[in-house]
Amino acid sequence: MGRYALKRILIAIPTFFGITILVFIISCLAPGSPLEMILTDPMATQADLEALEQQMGLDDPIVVQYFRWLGNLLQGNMGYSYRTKLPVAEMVLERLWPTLLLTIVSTLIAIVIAVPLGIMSAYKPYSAWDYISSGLSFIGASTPTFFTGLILIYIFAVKAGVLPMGGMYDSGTRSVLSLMRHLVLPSAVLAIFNIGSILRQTRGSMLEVFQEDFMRTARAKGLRERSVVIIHGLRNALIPVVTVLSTMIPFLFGGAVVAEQVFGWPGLGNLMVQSINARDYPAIMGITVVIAAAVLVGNVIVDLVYGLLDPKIRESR
Amino acid sequence: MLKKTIGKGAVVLALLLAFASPLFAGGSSEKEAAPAQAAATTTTRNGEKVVTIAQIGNWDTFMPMNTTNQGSDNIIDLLFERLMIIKTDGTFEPRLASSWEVNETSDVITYHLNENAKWHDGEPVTAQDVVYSAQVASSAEYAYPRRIRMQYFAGTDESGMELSPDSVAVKAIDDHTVEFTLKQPMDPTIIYALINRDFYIIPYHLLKDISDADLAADRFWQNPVGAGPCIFESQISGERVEFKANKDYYLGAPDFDRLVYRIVTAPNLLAGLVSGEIDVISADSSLPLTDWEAACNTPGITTESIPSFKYQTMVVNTQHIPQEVRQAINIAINKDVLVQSLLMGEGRKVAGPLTDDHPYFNDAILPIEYNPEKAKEMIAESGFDTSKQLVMLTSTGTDIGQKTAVLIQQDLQKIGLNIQIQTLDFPTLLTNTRNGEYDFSFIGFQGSVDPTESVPNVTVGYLNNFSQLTDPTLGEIGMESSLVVDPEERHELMDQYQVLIKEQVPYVYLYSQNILFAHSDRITGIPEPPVDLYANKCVWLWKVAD
Repeated sequence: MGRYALKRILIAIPTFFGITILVFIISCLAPGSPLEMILTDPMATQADLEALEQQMGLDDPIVVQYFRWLGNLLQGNMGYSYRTKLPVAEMVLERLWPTLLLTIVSTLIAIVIAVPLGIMSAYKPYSAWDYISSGLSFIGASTPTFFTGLILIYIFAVKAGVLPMGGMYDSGTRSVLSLMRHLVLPSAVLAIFNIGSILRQTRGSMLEVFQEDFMRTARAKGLRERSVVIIHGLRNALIPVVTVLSTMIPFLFGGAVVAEQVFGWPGLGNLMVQSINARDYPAIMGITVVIAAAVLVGNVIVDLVYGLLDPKIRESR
Repeated sequence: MLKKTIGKGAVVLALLLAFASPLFAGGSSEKEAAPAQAAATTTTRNGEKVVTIAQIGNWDTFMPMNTTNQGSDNIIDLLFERLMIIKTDGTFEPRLASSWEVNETSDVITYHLNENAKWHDGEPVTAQDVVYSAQVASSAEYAYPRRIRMQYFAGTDESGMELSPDSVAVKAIDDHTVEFTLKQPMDPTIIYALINRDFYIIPYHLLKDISDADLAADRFWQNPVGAGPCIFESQISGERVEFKANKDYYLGAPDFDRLVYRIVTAPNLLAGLVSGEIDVISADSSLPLTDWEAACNTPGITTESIPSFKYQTMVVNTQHIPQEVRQAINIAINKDVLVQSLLMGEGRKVAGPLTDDHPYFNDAILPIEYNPEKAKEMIAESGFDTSKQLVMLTSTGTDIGQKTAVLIQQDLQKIGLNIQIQTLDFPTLLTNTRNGEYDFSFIGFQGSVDPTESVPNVTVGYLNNFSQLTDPTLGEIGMESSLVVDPEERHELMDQYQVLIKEQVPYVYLYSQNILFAHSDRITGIPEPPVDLYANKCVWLWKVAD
């Protein structure tokens, strides 16, 4: 298991640098320049633009700019934002935990709801219960998050007036209760979106597992039905579910962008959109580094969980 | 067996809901509130009067000389002081400067500062602070994005940069008198409008030990000390800034204890007003037109559609489209439809960069003609190759901008032009337009009391010469009018400027959209129309009901 884990981690390192190179090149080659966004003053001249370009080192070739950035990163310096002049590391860290909180809570809600529903659908396939839960989850998964968000805001904030329509805290407080109230709607929106895929995957793999010989054997041994389903069935059915979860990790950051915008949640997604609009390269790269690292760490964890769930995997690799 | 599990699950769920119920109730202190107000964060909290303002855009920084972003200016204006308030009718009112005068030769402006003004740490605001702010703004070590505005003061070069360290001719006469010397005699109202729009005074006594080069990134700006009506308390980056009221504010203590400035997406502005989470929508973040009627009909909300100097243009690439064709295009666009259908009547047509209520507007450029038949003939006479596909750039994110493009595309098709719309994000649109890689492009401008606001947009050598003009005449007339001292003479030059713009059509001036301003009835006394053309909301004048 130790060697297997090490191998997974070592593969992640070149992937990480590959991602940074790609994102750096793509953002530099994209039309629009940070200079244009800084020099929005109507009285700015071409000479001002050239002077600023030189001052910011943006007239150097992309390769030089990339290695300058990488050199700083390896010394723990993510640079300063063009837009705010603040250290990028601080800006990103400030936004990281709201995003993590939102994505983790919404994923947990989605798992807690979708896995039992998936098991129940598979236990009695083609029953009314199966149709209702699958139908509802499909509706959730196929409705854009901004739309679900606006509907929930209308119902719970405007009409019922029981939950805040956005933000992270009430004014003048940083209490956990206030945070939880503000977390309900955005995490519900993301959870509704994710329930569908987890539910379908759980249902599908449970259906397959229910047909397996060992399930019949387990029942024949006289085990309780709950043990048969949960211990023998679910454990085997979870591997494909974990796969779905792993593919959702990068998406969770992407999906959170929309939810963060709708609910004014101060997360990384929001910062990414602002940084892209301002062509703020240091901030874009800083966020990329964090998201890439989070996705790679997530994937390594998923790989390790595979190994835990299925001894065949950790032995064969 | 599984049924039993579900049964237990239901009990757990019920328990969870019971646990979560305080979340939905909004905390003990708010339980008795009316249903639609239960989630409100703006009403009285712990005995404090809280006011919440919402804006759509984000802020970048609290360093006044580090931004050109309106979202930042809105917040900075609560924290820091400007010398004057610029009124929408083109007049000026005191803020930090309680009075001012110009010498006989119109090249020295003297400001007398309000002696009661204090920084939030209790130190008095002095002339030294104003001098220091001007020195930073023109410093060679500091990249002030609006430095070009310093070019009118003696001791600076053409870019507004100091000629030698602290050479800018701004000096303290005594503790509360400061003198600005101009390079040459000018109409002082131009300087008042240009400089006081966003020249904020920063505290010398707290910043003097920081080099100009390190000033923008200094940690001071994460916990800034200003002299404005609100005292910085905390921020959640990208979500809100919270302030305490400055009860010692020299123009009057605000009638609230706490002010929250929040970022809210446009579709949620009305929802926030209705639910009571927002009290005031920042005037630069108009309500979406689609929500306007609903807002007007909602009890408890005061709405006001305020005409502004802002204007929307279609830039025409003068290097691709000859002048006769540009003139034809100008009369082929049905601006009435744009205003009535697209803006739902909440705006007006414009004939040039100055709206018809601007003090320098020239009536001679009226009427605004719409004659597609004549336009068609003009195109035929010009011999312009109409088979060529012309590129029209519009930016994402502005629904009205995109609809404007479609309506104009239809108008221009009627006179035989073949238009392809390209939708780009704004930075790309800006780059492509500045580089001349387009035929038509949509750009909106803020407008100003200063009649020469649009001059850089038609002057060769400026980045904002979007229409790629190579004829320097318009720019020369415009620049000359910004430098003349006599208002009469400026009127004549500006009249000439507007006629020439109509003739050359570097832009098709489309409409000026009203500011769709809305606030809760809980707040009264907001100067209407907003007394200041820019960020100033004069929050110290507001009356807030409990």
